[in-house]
Amino acid sequence: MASSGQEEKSISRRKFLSTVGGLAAVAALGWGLAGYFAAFPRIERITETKVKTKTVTSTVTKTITKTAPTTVVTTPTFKLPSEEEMKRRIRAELEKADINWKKFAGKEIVVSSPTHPFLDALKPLVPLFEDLTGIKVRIEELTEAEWNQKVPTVLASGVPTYDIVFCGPIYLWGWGSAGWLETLDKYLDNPELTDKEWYDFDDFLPATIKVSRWTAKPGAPEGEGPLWMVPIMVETYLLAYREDLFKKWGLTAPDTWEDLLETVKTVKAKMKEEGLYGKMYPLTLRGTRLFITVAAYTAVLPAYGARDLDENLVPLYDSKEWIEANKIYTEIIKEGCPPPSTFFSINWYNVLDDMAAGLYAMTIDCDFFAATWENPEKSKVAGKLAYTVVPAGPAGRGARIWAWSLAIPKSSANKEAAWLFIEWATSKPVLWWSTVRYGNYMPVRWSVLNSPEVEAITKDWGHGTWREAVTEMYAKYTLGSYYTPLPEQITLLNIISDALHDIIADRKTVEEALKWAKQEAVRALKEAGYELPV
Amino acid sequence: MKVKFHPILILLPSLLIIFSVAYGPFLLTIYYSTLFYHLYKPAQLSFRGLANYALLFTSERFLGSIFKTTLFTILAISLESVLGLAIALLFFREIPGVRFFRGIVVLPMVITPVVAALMFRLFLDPLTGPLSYLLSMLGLPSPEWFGYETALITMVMIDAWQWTPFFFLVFLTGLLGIEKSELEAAEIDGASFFQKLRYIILPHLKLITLIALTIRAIDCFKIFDIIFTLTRGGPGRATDVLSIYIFQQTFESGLIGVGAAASIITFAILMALGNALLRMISKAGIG
Repeated sequence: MASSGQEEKSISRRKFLSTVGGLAAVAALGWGLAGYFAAFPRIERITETKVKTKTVTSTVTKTITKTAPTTVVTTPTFKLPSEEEMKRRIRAELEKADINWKKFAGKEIVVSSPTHPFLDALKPLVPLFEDLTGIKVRIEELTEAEWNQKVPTVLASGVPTYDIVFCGPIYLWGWGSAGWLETLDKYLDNPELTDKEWYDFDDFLPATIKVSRWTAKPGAPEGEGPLWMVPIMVETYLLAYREDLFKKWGLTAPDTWEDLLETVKTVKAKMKEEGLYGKMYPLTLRGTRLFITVAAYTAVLPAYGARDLDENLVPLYDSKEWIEANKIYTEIIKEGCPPPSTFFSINWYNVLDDMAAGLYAMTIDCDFFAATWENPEKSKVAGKLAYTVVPAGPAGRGARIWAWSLAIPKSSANKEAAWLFIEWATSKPVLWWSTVRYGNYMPVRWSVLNSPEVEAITKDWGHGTWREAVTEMYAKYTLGSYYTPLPEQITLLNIISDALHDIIADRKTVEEALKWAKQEAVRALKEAGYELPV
Repeated sequence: MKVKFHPILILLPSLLIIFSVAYGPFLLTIYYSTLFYHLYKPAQLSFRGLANYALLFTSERFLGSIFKTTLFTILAISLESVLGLAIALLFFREIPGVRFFRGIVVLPMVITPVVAALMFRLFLDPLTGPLSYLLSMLGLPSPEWFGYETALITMVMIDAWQWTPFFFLVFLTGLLGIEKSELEAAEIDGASFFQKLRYIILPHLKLITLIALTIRAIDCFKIFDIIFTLTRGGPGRATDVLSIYIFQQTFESGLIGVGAAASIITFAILMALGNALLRMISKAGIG
């Protein structure tokens, strides 16, 4: 009995200690988290600024004068008509087309798409199409990984499952060469299905049509051959920089990659002087496997005249031009981006969010990210950025584009109805409305980009620099996909990513890494059945 | 002897479904692994015997991915089982609020791996993450979560966060099955905590541990979501595990034959592992 009494006593002491310990741990964690949220009160701070903008004008003007003495970010200066009014106007515009929209009434079409903002911009408009045509639309939306697995499997089976698939250049190279897609010229040229004058195919940004035409022979250049898809959303890349910091530090926007390296060094030194370095970094670029090769990297390679493959599809990763481009690119990353272990985890959404949070002075990434960065409700840097075209190099200036597009599988049982959907979704009024109302940036038509409404929304982005930069990029410097059209291109890009990571982590020299990349790429292409003369 | 056809006829539909759903695709995968089968070049389909296997066993990347997967599996199940046991021992005792905490502990298991991965991406962010903030308050630098030497460990950590509760549940069930009188008798005899653990608790948990290890080892060997979401196998090939390799070969490169051969090799490894553990389970069960 005595021992039992002792045990009871010791258990209650243990109970007491563990309870106190637990409470202390919870309190410590709570204290730490409270400190963290106090240090990053992103949403609250923005809301406060917004309220002040409305009520205490003089205070706001003062604050802004200190940092960015140009203009304050404004909301659009026009008012959108009501939803009902817009639907009526769009329907009236669509009915101007000299085609019978009701020709396939009663049919059902299935659209397959990965989850993406462009789908969010399109979905609210689908009832308009159903109402106009009497065609029912079913959208199958999957995550990127699921979509990547399911669509090729379905298309390869030849079973009529989808009538429209979202597509893009790198998918076209696989699906087109496998013979799974329908060419679209016959629908575009059919007066019963397309009113060419109304549809105005020449209105599309030229680079978006360049990537949609291809002979479907691996290695053949794009821009020639039949039309496989019609673009619905496009991106190219711009250099965005913190104009307020650049003015304060007496810097100008870098014009060349050499300039960018120097600018990055100066910004780093200034940040260190002001005790900002570590909390902020001079530059952010995409760093994760595969994604490291698809944004700014596609601007440095052409600037140095680098080509990825020769006419026999032999990789040119050890060429003088490729080495030069990779040397300066990795030097810029090592100098200006966060340390490698952080850099390797930066994907496009980190560039978008962290730039908006004010963690970087510069980036080279998607043009449409400006829609977020210039929105004071989502960004700390609204009104503080300026934009310019991608840097130039000894061989000139340029960058690739990526265009999400709509294509029709060969196995579709409703190809003509599917074409009507494509014609509708990519028509001027629908693209205009999806951009103005639902933020489908970047629009693929000049008429939409230059419409008074889109101009009113975007004219103050970067104090006017965004529109200048975007217009210049799409008019002069967009190169199509840049990489050689090949079904195995993702495999090659993964290999290049691995080489870039090795260089950035100082595991290999540029020459060693690229020599390895070439060997790996040759092996991969031979495994895929190519006969290479090496 | 008269053969009764009646039961066979009744079973036939079920057998056909099981065969077509489970064994059909498996046999088809074996067949594909002997072909040059390029998803995007269907016209070049041809028989190539064991060439895909030969290609894999001479591929530095494939052999590297087997090593990384094995390392990931060993580290993950070791960490998860030790932590799971520790937490189970903690919550085995009747302390205030134990039922509530038991409920909280198992929560990570119900979260989708992709969501867990993205949560950790935010949590570990060296610039904006709460963890780096807490560490900086203590004057400590943020660890290199996604470096060459650390990325795989980070993946183990995330997997452990999500799946330690599984071991916790299994061990707790095992612990609840131990006779209290046995533990009390040991205490009266003056046994220390570690003596009770060594001579009473662990022997009781042996069988259930082996079953849990088998399930988790097979799961870990197939790890995909967390890695695909966070690193896609990078940096370089630091987290290039078997599932990532198979996914990229099959769906990104379109090499169905090579992907099928890699899947069959993975299957063989898992069968060997599963059989070894099952044998141990049988022995433990008999013992």
